[in-house]
Amino acid sequence: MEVERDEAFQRRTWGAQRAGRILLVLLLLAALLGLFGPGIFNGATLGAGNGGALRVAYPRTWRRHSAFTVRVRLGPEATRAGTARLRLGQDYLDAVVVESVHPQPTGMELGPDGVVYTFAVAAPGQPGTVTLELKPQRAGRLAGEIGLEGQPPLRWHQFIFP
Amino acid sequence: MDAVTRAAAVYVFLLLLFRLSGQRSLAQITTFDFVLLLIIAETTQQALLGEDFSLTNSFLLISTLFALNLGFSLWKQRSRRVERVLEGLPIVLVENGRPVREHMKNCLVDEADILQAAREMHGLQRMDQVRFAVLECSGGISIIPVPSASGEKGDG
Repeated sequence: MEVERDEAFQRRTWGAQRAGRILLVLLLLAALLGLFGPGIFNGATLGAGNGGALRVAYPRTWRRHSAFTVRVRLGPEATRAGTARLRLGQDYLDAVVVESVHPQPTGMELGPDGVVYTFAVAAPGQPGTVTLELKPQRAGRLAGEIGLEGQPPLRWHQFIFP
Repeated sequence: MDAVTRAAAVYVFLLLLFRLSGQRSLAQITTFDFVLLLIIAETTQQALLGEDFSLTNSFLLISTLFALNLGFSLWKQRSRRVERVLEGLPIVLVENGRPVREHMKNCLVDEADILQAAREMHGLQRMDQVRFAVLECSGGISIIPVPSASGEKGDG
């Protein structure tokens, strides 16, 4: 019977298929653990040590055109004045669309370095959390920046998969 | 990512995954493979369109897919090596009545699959009536029956 045979090629193909299948399973496991988005190893927190004025929880990696949540915890000093003013860095704002800010800010002001959101505080001197839903518009490394007005901001990096 | 890049990425990704799962997956008629094909069609739609539902986007995507298909076909024609890598080679599963176990194992084909093909193609009843069985690049199994002395098929 005339059939094209090439044992060596066939063996290489089968070897490559086996390796490919193992790689696929490993990638899926990594995805489950949070490599590409939601997962137990994906969350990160910043600012836990600086006296508690500001703490940010964000996902290390996420995907383009998919919204993620950033939780900003404002400590007692931040709310003492009766209002809290939070600044979001311009580079960060350029790369994402702010889908929602919770609670609703009472004011949004344009600044040289980003936008300043003003929040009314029900109990001055008590901590509170601001939740932001952000949707990245491009893939790649994002430079996140959030800070209380007049204070050094917290900075971090996130990787957005296409 | 722009339409052309997306379409190319999805096309190559699917090609890669189909090659990874082996030739058989192209012609399988089990329930899961059917379900898989249905669901994949739905998932790729979203991956291709993204958030852009304009006519321009879909025309660009369709054109890119046609161009890639044409490009790969032409490339396969000119290079035997590329054709082998993209399509694979036919694999002999039964040679002169004897099953080649190693090949069967690697191709994820068992005797029941060969017997099914033998029944469907030639009405054969037993493995000893099969002279050659080949897993084609298309994923189907072709059977060459043992020629019977009286010229009748299937009865021994």
